Amino acid sequence: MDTASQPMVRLQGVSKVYRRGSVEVPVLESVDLSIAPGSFEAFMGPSGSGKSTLLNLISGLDRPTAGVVEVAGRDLARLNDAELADWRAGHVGFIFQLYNLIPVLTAAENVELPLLLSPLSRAERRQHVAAALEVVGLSHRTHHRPPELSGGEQQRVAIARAIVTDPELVIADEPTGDLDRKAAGQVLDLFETLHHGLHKTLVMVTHDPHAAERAERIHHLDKGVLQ
Amino acid sequence: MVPLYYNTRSLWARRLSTSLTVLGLGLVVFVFAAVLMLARGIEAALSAGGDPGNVVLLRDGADSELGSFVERDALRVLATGPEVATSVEGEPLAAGEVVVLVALPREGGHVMNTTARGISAQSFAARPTVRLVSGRMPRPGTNEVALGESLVGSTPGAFVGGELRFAQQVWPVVGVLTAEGGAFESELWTDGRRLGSAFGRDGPSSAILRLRSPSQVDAFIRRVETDPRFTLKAQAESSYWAKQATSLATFIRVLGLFVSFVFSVGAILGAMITMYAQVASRLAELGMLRAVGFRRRSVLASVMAESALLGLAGGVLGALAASAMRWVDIRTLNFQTFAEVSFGFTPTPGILLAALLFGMGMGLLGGLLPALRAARLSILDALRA
Amino acid sequence: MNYARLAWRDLGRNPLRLSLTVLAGAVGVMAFIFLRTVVDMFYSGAAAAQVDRLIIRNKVAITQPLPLSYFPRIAALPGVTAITHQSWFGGTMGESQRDFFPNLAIDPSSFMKVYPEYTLPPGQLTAFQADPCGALIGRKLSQRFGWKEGARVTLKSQIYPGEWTFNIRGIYDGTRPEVDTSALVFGYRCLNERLPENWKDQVGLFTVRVDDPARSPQVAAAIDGMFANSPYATLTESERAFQLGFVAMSSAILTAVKLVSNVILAIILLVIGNTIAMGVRERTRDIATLRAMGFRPRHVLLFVIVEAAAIGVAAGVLGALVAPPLLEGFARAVESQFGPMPENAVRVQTLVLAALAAVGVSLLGAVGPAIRALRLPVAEGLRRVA
Repeated sequence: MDTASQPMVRLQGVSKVYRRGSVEVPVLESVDLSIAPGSFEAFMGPSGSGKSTLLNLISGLDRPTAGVVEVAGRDLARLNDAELADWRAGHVGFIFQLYNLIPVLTAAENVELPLLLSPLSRAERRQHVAAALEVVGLSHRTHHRPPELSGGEQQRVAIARAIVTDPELVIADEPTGDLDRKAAGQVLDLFETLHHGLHKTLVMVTHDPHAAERAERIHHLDKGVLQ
Repeated sequence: MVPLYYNTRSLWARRLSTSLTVLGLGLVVFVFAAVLMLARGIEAALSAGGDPGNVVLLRDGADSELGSFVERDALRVLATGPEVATSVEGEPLAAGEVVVLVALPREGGHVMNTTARGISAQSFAARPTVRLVSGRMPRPGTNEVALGESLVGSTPGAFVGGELRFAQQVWPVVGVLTAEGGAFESELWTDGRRLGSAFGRDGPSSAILRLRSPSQVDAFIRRVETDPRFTLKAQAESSYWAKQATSLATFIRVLGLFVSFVFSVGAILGAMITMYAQVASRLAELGMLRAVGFRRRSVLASVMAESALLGLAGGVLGALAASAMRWVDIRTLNFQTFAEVSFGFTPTPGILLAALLFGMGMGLLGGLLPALRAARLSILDALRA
Repeated sequence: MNYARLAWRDLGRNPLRLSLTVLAGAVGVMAFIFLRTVVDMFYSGAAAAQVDRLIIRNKVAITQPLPLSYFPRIAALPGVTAITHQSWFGGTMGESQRDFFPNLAIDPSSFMKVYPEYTLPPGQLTAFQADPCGALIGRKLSQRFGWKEGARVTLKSQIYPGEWTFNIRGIYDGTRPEVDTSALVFGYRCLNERLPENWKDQVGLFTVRVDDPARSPQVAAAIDGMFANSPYATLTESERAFQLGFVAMSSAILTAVKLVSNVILAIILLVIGNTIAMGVRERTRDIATLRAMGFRPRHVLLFVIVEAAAIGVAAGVLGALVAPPLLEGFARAVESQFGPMPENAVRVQTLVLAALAAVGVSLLGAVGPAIRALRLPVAEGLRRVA
């Protein structure tokens, strides 16, 4: 099969229903989606539209109630929890709204975390970390801890962590949600670097129209249905 | 997998909780280790008084020299036995001894029940572990007294050149004895006939016989006990002293281990509370680790490692504090004999190791449930926290 | 919805932490009660001492005897209303120290006059006095070995050679729960008759009752003065001082136990206090919400205090409930060496102190953070993430 034409992400007939006690809450309904490799897609929609859930399914953090989720040719449903964890470690980078850095670790140590799951030696790990911090422009803050960094700097450390294992797919959930205009701009510039410079596939969920307009395509979700 | 420095720094970040927990764990380990050291100290002190090649004669039915008496004739007969060693001059190494309690005054107006041993000619020869450390031996036929080392300074006149007063007589102190930490270091030794007459005793309380070889002890004991002429009981000297410690050592061990066990429950609960709080405050981090690809078991291991660190810290603290007890001497009443004995805390590598393991074990037990909870977290719930 | 209901519901917020905190507190309370009571047991003899009794013993050592001939001479002294004697027999049932219980040779005709806290049906007393080798046993001892009137008990003494058989003629009780009923007593004549000449007519202790406790020192001095220059000089002291003398001999251990119990209490209660403080800190936002709704600071404080107090009380009560069985277990474990534990060993004072401490520390733990939370401007409190 020609890898160039194979989508990075393919969803077919995907539904997700949450069960709270005896109540069933449908969140996604019969979603079909195809994302080409190296593209930068944004998903927008009101609260409860299911966009975060969509992201969780694509990144292997959750499983659909129905339908197929294929990422880089892998049918995620065939993987058990342990295999999914391993798969995420090698193929997905995460960027969260609240950064989710570990406050007691330095920037470099935070970035290093995903590499601990790989067979790289300590010297190799250090090289990758340095390179990732270079990309996000924070080499001078290597030994600082999150409480000493601004919101924008923390998010950039998180981006470095997301790319340090060189994953194909980078997932961003409201990446600029907690940042001021300037910091948000820096983060979005970096996303462009990831997209054009490093050829990563970027999938972003956002409320922020400034963020959305940087993407190649914007999808809208409402009440679990892709428009 | 998850690096250990994450755990150490996270514990440090919540210093107050961490230190309180470590303090609690440390105290429990301290009590545990101190009790074991004390019990060992008692046994060491009391059994160091016993030479395996010596036999102690008591009246049948008596458990202690203090309540016993031995007929002089019986002693004379037994001393001629072939198993009994002889001195260079050809005298059998057998000595009848008068053992009584003397109430000596001590600070605070209370009295100290001290064991006084009235010795005879061969007493020293029969006990090679007892040595003069200063002064000289008491002369037979006089009231001269040699003090066991731990008695020095414990009552007025208790030093070389001083005088003790009891039984309406004066007893000058002429020497100080050591006995490798054994019970004799809590006794005062003087001439048996003088002591006996001061206390209205006209015969020895007990006798000590040194045999040619320890292997002959059992046979000798059998001989004594089956001889219809005497109503005597014979024991290896080491067994005799070991038994004197039973009551006190039991009390200390039972009290101490009871207390340690109960307190350990409290300390484990404390560790559990701390670890639950640690996990609760770091839910988002733990969720992130899982999202990034760390397995559940890595998270479990990480939390367990953190609680083990807590426990180890407590163990080290407690073990250090307990080791410091080695310079403390305790003087207390041996309930069995009514005599006061002095003993110390004997630290051994085994006890210290046990203390560390005990601490770590408590930490691990405390961290188990929180670790399971952390591992069971659903990634999404954790990230939402 | 009143504040009490609110506080109650709020306690159920984190049931796991609640139960752990109460449990940890209960352990601390229980341990404290246990250790204190062990110390009290050492002092129980002194606590039960009567103010109008004096104990007379041989000055040289307690293990030395006194002549029986002193009896009438002491009895004749002014201030002495009653006198009796007793001698430690040191009898055991077997070879070892197992199944230890105290046994003494006493004077059957004078004993009860000096020790009125023991009671006995008159029939049993007469039977005892009529039988030279009759014996009386305490209620506790009777329950322990199942001995009844008419039973025969054989003992071997550590001090006096041979075997000694006694006929149980009665079972005595104490007039108060603290009175010891774990001993066996028999008539001195039974012992004295079998002794060799040079051991005869000697006793261990004399006990006298004085008419005026305030004059005890003078009476004591008179007694000691009378025998000061004889070969058997006496030392007379109040019963309480006598008992305390024994306690003093174990003072090192007692000091250690007291120290450990206080420190443990402090630490474990600090742990409760810290946990409660953690809980209050986490509720900064809730407290701000309540205030935004219009609750006054004093309402909020009350709410927090009631909760903390509830936890402290629960810990105290639980600890106090579990302590007696624990003590029972401990006493059982050392019974073979020391004899049975006295009834009602745990003093009410100790229980109250421990419970108060638990409540007190819980309150202390809550007050600080609660006040701090109240001082925050409401708006900022609302934004706090724990």
